[in-house]
Amino acid sequence: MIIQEAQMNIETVLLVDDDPSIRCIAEISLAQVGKWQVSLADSGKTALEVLRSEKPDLILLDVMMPGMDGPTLFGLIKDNTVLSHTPVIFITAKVQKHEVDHYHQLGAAGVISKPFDPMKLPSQIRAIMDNYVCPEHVRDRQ
Amino acid sequence: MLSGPKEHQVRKSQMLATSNKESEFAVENEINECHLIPKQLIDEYAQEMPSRLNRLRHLIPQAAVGSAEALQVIIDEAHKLRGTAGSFGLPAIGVAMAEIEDLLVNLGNAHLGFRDSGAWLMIDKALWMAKDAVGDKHAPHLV
Repeated sequence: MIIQEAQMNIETVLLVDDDPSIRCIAEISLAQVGKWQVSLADSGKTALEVLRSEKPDLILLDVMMPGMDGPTLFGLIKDNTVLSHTPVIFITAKVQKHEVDHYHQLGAAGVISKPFDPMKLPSQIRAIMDNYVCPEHVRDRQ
Repeated sequence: MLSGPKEHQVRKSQMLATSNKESEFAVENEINECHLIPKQLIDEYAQEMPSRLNRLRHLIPQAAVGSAEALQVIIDEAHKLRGTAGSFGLPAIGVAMAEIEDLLVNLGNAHLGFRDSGAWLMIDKALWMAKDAVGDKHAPHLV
């Protein structure tokens, strides 16, 4: 198997988190430090509305949210032919090993733990994306 | 409260990336270079902490006698504070809230019931620690 790696160029990020404090500090971090364009959604339902009109380069997704939780939204994203290859990073305080393993098994590009350092959040994302291989770039060659 | 207006819930923030001078945060606030977050936001977060902790204080006795609703509110609030406090420069609160959340979740998972006095003493202690971290003079006493 040969893996064709494609450098991910992040310009737009959708952050989905029900906590206004997280949205606030992450927005500042992603925009001012990461220099990315940021869209925000306070719920899974709102995120789906945003994703009808936007196709972000990356989705940061909280795990525990009222209503539709992160893994449920993740499943819907991966089932959507337009969005299925959009990398998703879970951002959560629940980072015990079995929990992190579960997120990876679901197909997440990575996991970032809360609380995060706003100065370092973009570099954490870049580190994950540097090692991320989009499934559509994996080709079997015999 | 940090919870923003409706327009904050879904909006692009390109302006923050392109122009600090035009950003809603940079205009009136001094940027904290260490933590990036405007001092006003950090102050607001810290100022609302006593009331959030007091809310927990009042809910915990209800949860201790079996109120599932109170219990869930505590777990949710502890989870939120666990995930945010460190980012706002209050890591001790985050640690205390993590202990509270984990204790409650573990109690539920272990089916031990919520009348475990030892667990509630630990939760009480964690809440004291959180209160101390924000310098509140009226630390709660639950047990």
